[in-house]
Amino acid sequence: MSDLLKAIAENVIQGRSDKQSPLVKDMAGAPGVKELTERAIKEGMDVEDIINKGLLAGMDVVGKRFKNDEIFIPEVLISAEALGVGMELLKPLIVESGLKPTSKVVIGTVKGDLHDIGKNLVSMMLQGAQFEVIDLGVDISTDSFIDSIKKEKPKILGLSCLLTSSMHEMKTVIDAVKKENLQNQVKIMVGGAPVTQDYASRIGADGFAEDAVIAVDRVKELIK
Amino acid sequence: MIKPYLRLLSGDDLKKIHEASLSILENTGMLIDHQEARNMLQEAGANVDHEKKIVKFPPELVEETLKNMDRTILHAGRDPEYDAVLKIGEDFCTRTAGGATSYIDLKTGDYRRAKISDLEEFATLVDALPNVNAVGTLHCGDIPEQTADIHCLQTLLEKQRKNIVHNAFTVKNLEYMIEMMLAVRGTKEKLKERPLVHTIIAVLSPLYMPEDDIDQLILAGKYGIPTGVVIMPSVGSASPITLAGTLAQGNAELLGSITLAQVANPGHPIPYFFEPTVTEMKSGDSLMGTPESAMLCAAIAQLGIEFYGFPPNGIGLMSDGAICEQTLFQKACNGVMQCLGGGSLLIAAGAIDSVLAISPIQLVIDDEIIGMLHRISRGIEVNDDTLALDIIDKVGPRGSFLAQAHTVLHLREGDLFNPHIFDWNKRDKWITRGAKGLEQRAREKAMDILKNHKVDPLPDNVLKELRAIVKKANDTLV
Repeated sequence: MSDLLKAIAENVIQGRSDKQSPLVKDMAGAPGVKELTERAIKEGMDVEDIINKGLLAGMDVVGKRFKNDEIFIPEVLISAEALGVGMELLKPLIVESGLKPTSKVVIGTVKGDLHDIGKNLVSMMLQGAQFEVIDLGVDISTDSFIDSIKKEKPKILGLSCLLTSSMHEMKTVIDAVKKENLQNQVKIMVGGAPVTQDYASRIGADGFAEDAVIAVDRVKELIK
Repeated sequence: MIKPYLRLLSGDDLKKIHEASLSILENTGMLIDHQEARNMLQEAGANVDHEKKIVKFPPELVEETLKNMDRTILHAGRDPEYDAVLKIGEDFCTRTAGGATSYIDLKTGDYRRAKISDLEEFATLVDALPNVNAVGTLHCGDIPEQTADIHCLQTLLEKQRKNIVHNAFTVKNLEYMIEMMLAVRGTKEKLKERPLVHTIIAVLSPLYMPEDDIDQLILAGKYGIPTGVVIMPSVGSASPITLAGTLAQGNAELLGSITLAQVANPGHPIPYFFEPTVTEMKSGDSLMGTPESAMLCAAIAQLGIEFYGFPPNGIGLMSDGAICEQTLFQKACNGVMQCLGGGSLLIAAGAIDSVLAISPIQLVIDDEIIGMLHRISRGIEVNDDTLALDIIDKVGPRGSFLAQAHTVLHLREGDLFNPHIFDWNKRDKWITRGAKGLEQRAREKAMDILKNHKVDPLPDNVLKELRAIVKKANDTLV
């Protein structure tokens, strides 16, 4: 494999988006994902190679290290961000080359609840895993979720909630999805501090995850 | 080290305790059961009653002695990478307890008489665990009684590489043990430069130094081997029930011991250490994990660090009883108090049941507790970088700090303690991951270390020499 692709992978692993990154002292001032991807494009490298052997190869290592408890969420996110920088540069070329788009996830915090730390974390982790995430935000009404499913046609709908007083809203959304006959088109995942597997099953959700990391695995399982 | 450290006592309190100690030494004196030691102290200016064996120390003699003491204590390992240096301003070090007679079987959990194979197991764990810096003794029952100390030292020299803090049963035994230290180090000069063993002697509170202990003190001093003086006034029985009185007496016993050691062998390193216990008033037992113990840990640390300028030792990891959830709380209380007090050496990792037993599982758990204490000890740093105004501004309302380089950098510097044994997962995840209890997780880690950790052996000629010395000791002493 070319040194350039290796360098892209390594910079994704280190989370170095560009040459200004302060993350690795020994690499201060050296080109990051941005500069290296630009160079790869300029040299006319194959887009699929840049993505698979460079950017995603690096992210793959990050995922493994994370599962082995060698690194933490912020390090995964910062690597995902670096990967995103490279992807953004490649976007016009991806459209040209006709590569398959990634799966879509619509996510939001249910009505009556303004909490979004956990939901944002799930969004970021999913983006890092190359999902296209439509984040509707907080205090989202059932109608808005339904509209979004119809418009975006996501594979997954993620419902988040922290307040026990809003938990029933998740069931309302799920019931509405069924009523609209959308349940074969989209799988529904629920999560949030008070939510358990037991509760998720009872309200008819397709999936549940204890945390943002597990959420990514569950989403992958559900869309298989 | 945390700055400023916890000040349980005022400057005036410290001065009063010091003056009280001087007064005890000057007016009550100590019973020094050793003719040669009394002669030396008399020559140095002490008032001696040879018939009653009482030595009264003039304050000037004590104060002058303290001035000339070295302020750093080296717990040298086999190699420098295993050294633990006690120095004010540096982070604290930790050692295991000494003198337990029982061992908790790692596999069965049985509480039973310790065996030499247990000590080998324990030594491997000590060698592997990063937060344990020195090791104490374990009194084993399946070796000759008269030379159990010598066998123990042999095992610790061979099976692990950290500093050893070891008592000898008699000065005769100590002679063999010094031979063993010389066998590892090569020469007397090298041993003095890097003492891989510290010896231990005892003062029996109140105010009595037995003959053989003094023999051992003087012999160790000749070789420059640091000697810890075990001073355990039991609050309410071997010292006053009041903590101030106990501090004054214990401190006096230590200052008296230091003075004798310096008169006998100037420069002999003696750590600032005394370890009052608390009398259990329904049985007379000695306790080490009471709230009084915790306060004494902080007070002794403060006396050492603030008043005398010595790196203080303390019993930060002692506990009573053998119930895990109870020993953990006691260790946490003592440990936090000693650590916040600025203590330099936390003693008793792995010990339970008032140091009657050593538990390998407790050792692994203690290693984790010590890690948390190290984090607390580093304190809260306040500067432009840690106030992080630019980051707060960049992230802004409703943003997230997770994916900031600032977060990653500080995470990598160890700003957030990361547990290995404690499981901080929520209940659901804890159950999916096997619902393991703390003891089970610690046992698994211990098993893993024993399976995978290797300790480099000593050179063949050294091993041979050690075995020859142990054989010689057995032939003579048993």
